[in-house]
Order: sequence, then C-alpha cells, then structure tokens
Amino acid sequence: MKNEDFLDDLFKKARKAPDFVPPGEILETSLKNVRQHPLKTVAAKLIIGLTALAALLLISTRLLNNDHSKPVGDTVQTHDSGKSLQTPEDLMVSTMEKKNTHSVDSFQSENTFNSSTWRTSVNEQRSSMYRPQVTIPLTGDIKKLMLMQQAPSQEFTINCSRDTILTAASGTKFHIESQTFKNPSGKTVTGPASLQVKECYDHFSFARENLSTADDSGSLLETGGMYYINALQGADTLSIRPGYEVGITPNYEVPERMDLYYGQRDSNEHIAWEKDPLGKTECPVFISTGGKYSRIMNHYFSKNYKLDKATMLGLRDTQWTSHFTSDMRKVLGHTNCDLKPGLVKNACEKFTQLSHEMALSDTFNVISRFTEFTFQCMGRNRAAFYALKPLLDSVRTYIPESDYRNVQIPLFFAINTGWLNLDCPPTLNIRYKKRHITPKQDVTIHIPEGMRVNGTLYLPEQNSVARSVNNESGRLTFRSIPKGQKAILLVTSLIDEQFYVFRKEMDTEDMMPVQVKFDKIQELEAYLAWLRNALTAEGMASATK
Amino acid sequence: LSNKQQEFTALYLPLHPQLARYCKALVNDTDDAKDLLSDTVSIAYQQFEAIRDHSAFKYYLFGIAIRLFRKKLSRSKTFISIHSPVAETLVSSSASDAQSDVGHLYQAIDRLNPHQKEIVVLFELSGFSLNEIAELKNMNLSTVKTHLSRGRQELIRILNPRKETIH
Repeated sequence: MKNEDFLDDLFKKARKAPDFVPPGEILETSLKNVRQHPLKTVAAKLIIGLTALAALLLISTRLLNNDHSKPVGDTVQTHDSGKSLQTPEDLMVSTMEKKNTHSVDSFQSENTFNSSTWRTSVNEQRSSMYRPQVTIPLTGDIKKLMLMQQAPSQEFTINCSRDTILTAASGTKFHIESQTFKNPSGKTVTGPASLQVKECYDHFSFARENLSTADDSGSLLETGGMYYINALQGADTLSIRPGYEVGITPNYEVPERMDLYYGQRDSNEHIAWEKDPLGKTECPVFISTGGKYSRIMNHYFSKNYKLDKATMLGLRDTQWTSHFTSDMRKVLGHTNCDLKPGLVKNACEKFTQLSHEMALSDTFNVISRFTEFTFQCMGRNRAAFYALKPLLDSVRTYIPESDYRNVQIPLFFAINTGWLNLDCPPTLNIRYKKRHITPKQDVTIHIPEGMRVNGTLYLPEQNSVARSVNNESGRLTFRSIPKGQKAILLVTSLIDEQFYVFRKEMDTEDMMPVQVKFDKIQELEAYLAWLRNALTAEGMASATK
Repeated sequence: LSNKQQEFTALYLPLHPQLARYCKALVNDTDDAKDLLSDTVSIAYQQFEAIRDHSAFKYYLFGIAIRLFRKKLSRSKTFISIHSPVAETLVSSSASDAQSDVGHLYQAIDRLNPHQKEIVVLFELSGFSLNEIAELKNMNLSTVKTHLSRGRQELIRILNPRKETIH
C-alpha cells in the first residue's frame, strides 16, 4: 500500500470512529448553565463606574496636594497582615500564598460561587494548582521486582592453592592464579572456595540484572559484556590480594577500544561504572630482559616481589638509572632504586645485589656482556604473549577456533570482584559524524502520579542501557541520552504481586510525549517471557529499522 | 427548551461530529478535548444572538474553537500533564486495531506544527473544503494547499519513519 493511500485509509477510519463525547452531554452542560456575563449586569456597571470615579478623585486630590513622595498605586496593604507590597509581582505572590492556605473545600465553593457550573471541569483543573500538596503513598515495590527477576548465578568450586581456568556457560574464561584471594582478616586463602559467576552479553540479561551502562559521570557507554564474580569461603566473602588479578577472556573477539570498568550500586540499585586505566594490563613483576642469569632472576622476582597496578603507574614516570661497563662503552642495564622505602626499593636493591653477586661468582669473574641486566616492571605474561603472538597468528588459519581460544591469554585483568563491564565511549552516530560530537538531551516520560516504576531505555544501535527510577513527581527522566537513536522503552512495576509492564519503541531524535499505559501480568514466568520477547533480536531489530 | 436553545441545538447537532473530531485531534487528550468543546459551545451559545446569518454558523463555531485552542496552546507551555493515579485504570483497554490506528494518527497529528495541524484536521477530519479553510483562517488558497501538503508529508514521515542507511 502506498503511503498516501495508507494515510487516507487512516483518516477514513478516524472519520468513521464514534464520537468521544455525545452531543447531548455537551449541550446539557453548556446550554443549561450559561448565565449572563456578570460585567453586563446593571449592578456591575454601576459598581465599575463608582470605583473609577473614586480612583479619579483620589488621584486628583494627591496631585493637588503635591504629594509625590508616594506614587499612586505603589504600595498596597494586605488585609490580613498589613505587610507592604512593592510590586505587582509581590501582590500576585501574596495572593497565591493566601489561596494556598485555604482548604480544598473552600476553593471548590469559591469556584462554584464565582463561575458557572459549565466551566466546572476547567475550574477544577485550574484550582488544583492552588490546592495544598497532598502526599500520595507510593505504590510499586521496585526492589522486590529486581530481586524476583534476577537470574541465578553459576556456582563453581575452585582450589585456591592451584592455578585455575574456569569456562562459564556462555564461554567466558576466568583465569585465577593460585593464592589470588584473601579473607576479610587479610589472610591468604588456600583450599576450596566457592565462586559465583554471571555473564551478561544481551539486553535480556542486562534487564534481568538491572544493569545500565552509565559511567560515574552519568554518560552512557557502549558495552561489550558484563560479568559478576564473587568468591566465598564458608560465610566469608573473599577479595583479590594486591599484586594479583582475575583474568577474563570474553567469548568473542572484543574490539580494541573496550576497557575494563568496575561497578558500584547505590541504594536505588543504580549501577555506576568506574574505569580501570590498567584494565588490560596484568599486575606487573620485576623482570630482566637479558644476560645469562636472567631466567633465574625473573623466576626469583616474579615469585617474591609482586607489584600492584597503582605502584606500576607510579614507577612509569620516575627517573631510571643507567649502568655501564667499566670502560663506559656498553650499557649494562637500568634500575630504579631511588624511591621511597617500600617493596619496589627493596626489590631493586635485591636485584642489584643478586646481579653483582652472580657476576662476581662467574667463571670469568668479570662483568661481561653475558651478565647485562635490565630492571623493569612488566606484566607476567606480556613477554610470553609477544613471543607467542606470531605463532598464534600463523596457526589460527588452520586450527579450530575453540582450540585457538584455549591457547589465548586473558585480555582483561580485574583487581576487584563484583560487577565488571567491558565498555567504551560510544562511537559517533553516522548522523552526527560531521559535527564530531553527538548532541544529547534529557528524555522525560510522564507516568501515573504516586506509582513507583523501573524505567529502562535500551539503545540497540550503540548497545547502551539507561535506567531511571522515578520519585513521587510522576516523571521518569533519562539523563544525557544521545540524539538520533532508535530506542526501546520498558517501564515495569510490581503492585500486589502483579507485574505492570509497558513497552514502546521510540526515536530519541524527535521525542513525543509518551503516555504510559500498562499491561498486567500475573505470573513471574509470563513476565520473564514478556521481557525476553520485548528485548529479543526481532524486537531490537524492529526498533533499529 | 427555550426558542434560542432549540435553534442553537438544531444548528449545532449536524456539526457536532466534525467539531468533536477537530477538538480531539487538536489537543490529543480526551479530557482537554471535552473542555475545549464545552468552552466552544458555551461561548457560541452566549453570543448566538449576535449571529445574523445562520449559514455562517459553521465558520463561527470553528473560529471560536481555533481561538480557544491557540489560547490554550500558549498557556499549556508552562504546565505538564499528569495522569490518573489509579493503577487499575492504567491497564490498557482491549482496543481494536482500528481504534489503535486512529490513536496513532492523533498522536502523529499532535506532532505537527500548529498551522499544519489546524489545516490538516479541518480538511481531513472536519470535512472543510480548501476554499472554506482559506476563508476561515483568512489565508491565501495556495498557502492553505502548501500547509496541507506539507502536513500530509510530515504525517507520512512520522507514521513511517525512514530507515537510516550507512554508507
């Protein structure tokens, strides 16, 4: 059907649709109660004339007395308090305040007295502006809804005394080195521990876990997958020791622009993501890159001296010392011992001592080119990665993808447990490529007053999720939403064990007011099925069309 | 009923469906539309005696509705609409497809600019001819045609959003 025909068909339907209000109702309310305008009555005309005359007399009297200190009409005395008002705006505010002190009943009676009843609906609407604020009890249990819709976590038992690689249900790999965890008292954990894991790659799983992709400044990010890791030993929640990390290999090839973020939930169950600047970097170790004793020294230092990422950041910008042979013709290596006392300084001094001892105990008893050393901090597997990468690239063409993934090293290294996210700032929308910045706007949805709902805006084009929980104001606001995106709005609530759901596809470029009308679902299974359907590939695809 | 009321009712009843559709399409809210309709009829009835030519009653009635709508538009910029709090009434009624189509149409009309909206609604829903609209709105005929054409194109665009292609 052509567009013009489609439109004509719609107009035809609209013309045939029954009237939204019968003519009898309108005529009854309009004709019966229309009275003559009060200003047209003789009495009213008389009052107006007398008032104008009195005002004229007052002005002329003041002019004759040359009283210019108080201009006419400048000051008005109110009846109740005698407070002076200086401007018409003050007078208006005072009148409104005075009206606010009235009860609802008195206003209704006032309206009835002053106006005809045919305008009742209009007057009720207007007088509602002056009614005292009434606290409406909030309905809708959002926290319970969030708990009910959460997916169960995958449970694994690991031996903390051994290196472990876990493969979760969706194929994500978690690399855990031995003795990675510590208990709340700070003691290194050995023996069995329980590991809870969740993997979220699609919008349905984001919805079940109430996840959004806003960073701590409120800007929306583009996600490449979210994970939850929690380690337990008995009743103790375990944390990762300094200098250790949990390696993560996602189940797909992650774009280079993605970084690792850590999530923090607030009291409203909002999650804010904070970037780990070294999320792609392993915890560093001291390493020497040359000389005949390098392997022994590397082993010694990687085992006994572990650095956390923050220390590595501190080392990066400090001054390194170069060491030369006795004839000053060759660089032996670099050290960085000029630091405040601590692990790095100790390691540095130990390194220098060992290298000299080994050189002195050498058969030739001289510091030869074979004993050159370089004192550096590197990721444990980085050297192995660079050594293996050409090999991996060469074999990738003829070995199965699953086997290739097995030999891959982790891509992201988390130093905290909890919610993790592979995120990046969204790429520029094609519509705004020339402007080099995507314009943003706040999106407000009007919802029933007094109802507490959970609103989520899914942007499938850039794989972002914005969440908002309303207050009692009857509005739901999503902050800093990029323009020019197709979006899916889901609004849900739980009232009296029944699920209230609303779904709408919209365009953030040209927002129109949304009137939320809920469907009601009785069972949790049916609600989850609705959620899945609302966010399936077909549903998302229709939104991006 | 008095003679005035009988006379007014006789003239009003045939025009009620057109005027009701017009008010509904302009404000896209049943309560607001009822208010607009009620105000229009009340004002028309109050000043009914001033009409000399009853054949111009249609223009007279729609002229009042247009002026009231513009007043309402300027007022409504400062207010937001808040809906009923009763949860039970929030469940959407099982509206037929035709009604939901009409609802979408009204929503789309609501997004037109005021001039286009008035002209599209007068022509398509209230059954005015182009000449009548030009006379009612005191506009050139070609201007009315232009507004109508652009309004229809805009409606088609809103109801069938074009796909973005990435080159």
